[in-house]
Amino acid sequence: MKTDNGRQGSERREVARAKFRMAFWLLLFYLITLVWAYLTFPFLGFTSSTQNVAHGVLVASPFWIAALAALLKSRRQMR
Amino acid sequence: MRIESWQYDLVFFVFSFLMLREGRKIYGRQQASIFLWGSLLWTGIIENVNTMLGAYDYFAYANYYSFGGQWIQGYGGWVSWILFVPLAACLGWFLLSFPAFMISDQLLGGRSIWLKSTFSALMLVSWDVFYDPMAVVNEWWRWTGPGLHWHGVPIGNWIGWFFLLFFFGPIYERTVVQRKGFRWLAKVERLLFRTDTLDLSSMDIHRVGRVFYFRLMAGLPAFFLCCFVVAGATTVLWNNRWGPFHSVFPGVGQELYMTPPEGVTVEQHVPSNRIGPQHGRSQEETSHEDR
Repeated sequence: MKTDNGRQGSERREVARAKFRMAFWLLLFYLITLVWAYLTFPFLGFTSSTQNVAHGVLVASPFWIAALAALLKSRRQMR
Repeated sequence: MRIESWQYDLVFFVFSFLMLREGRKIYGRQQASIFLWGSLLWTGIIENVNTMLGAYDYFAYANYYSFGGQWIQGYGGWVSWILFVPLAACLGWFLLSFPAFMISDQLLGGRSIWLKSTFSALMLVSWDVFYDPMAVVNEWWRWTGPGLHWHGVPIGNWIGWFFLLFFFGPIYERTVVQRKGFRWLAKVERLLFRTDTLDLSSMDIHRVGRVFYFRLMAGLPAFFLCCFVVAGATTVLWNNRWGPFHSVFPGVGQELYMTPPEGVTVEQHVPSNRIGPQHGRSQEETSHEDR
């Protein structure tokens, strides 16, 4: 398996594109689950589904911030 | 409204495919496939063991299924199963852990594999802290054991999520990416694979895959021990809710562990072979449907 250092320029860009898409799909998947959270019943201990979404944005912040950072980094590598 | 299990299935299957497709371009076709099969093996075993030990189950939809208001008899609610666990649940772990693995590598580069696995495992835990309460209200799975619950989910679940990738990530990276070995396993592997497994660089990728699957199996006891100690401690020290559902797998001695002490009221215990979603839900949960 090739490491990033052993890859040619065009191949490296192609890999960066794939990394970008992977991070993008992950964020899209997260957005879909956020929409589900809004559409479904309030979680136990909550009274409205808006609280579900606020909870989802807050507690999952390490998840989406890391995914966003990877997305931006791979975007830079694509150039 | 209820998010149906078929919607869960559909989204998880589609995104698993997308992750696999991108993963093949990043890590190579064989390496990505090894990650997929390793995930299914790893989570398939762990989830089935947990289900049979009475931690949770996926049988809320058993014996009935509703689609557009119509009940479809004989359909378990999930497209396919690995024994007692829906395939989508195992694929779900793959579709999250694969990008989390890639992201930790992308952001932390050449750092220690244990630091990267801690980072990616915490990423997954943070997502699941959001996601699991949604599974509770939609009955995708049901918690059948006592524990320290938050929004209807025992803390032990997130401890398990942490250790899932904390162990899987380094085993994958050391074996498939770096093509190296673990000294503590070297002697056993030499007997099994008849070669020096501390350096796999010249080994065929299919054999590397077999070494990887073996190492996952060797890591299972460590996973269960860590979960048992840490999650068990939270249950013993801070148990605040007895399992709202009976397990369909009553284990030996489980009565001692599952039966609440004198004076503690169980929210609701019902047989698992109920016929509708309302029957098995605690009052706290069903009240949400009145909206």
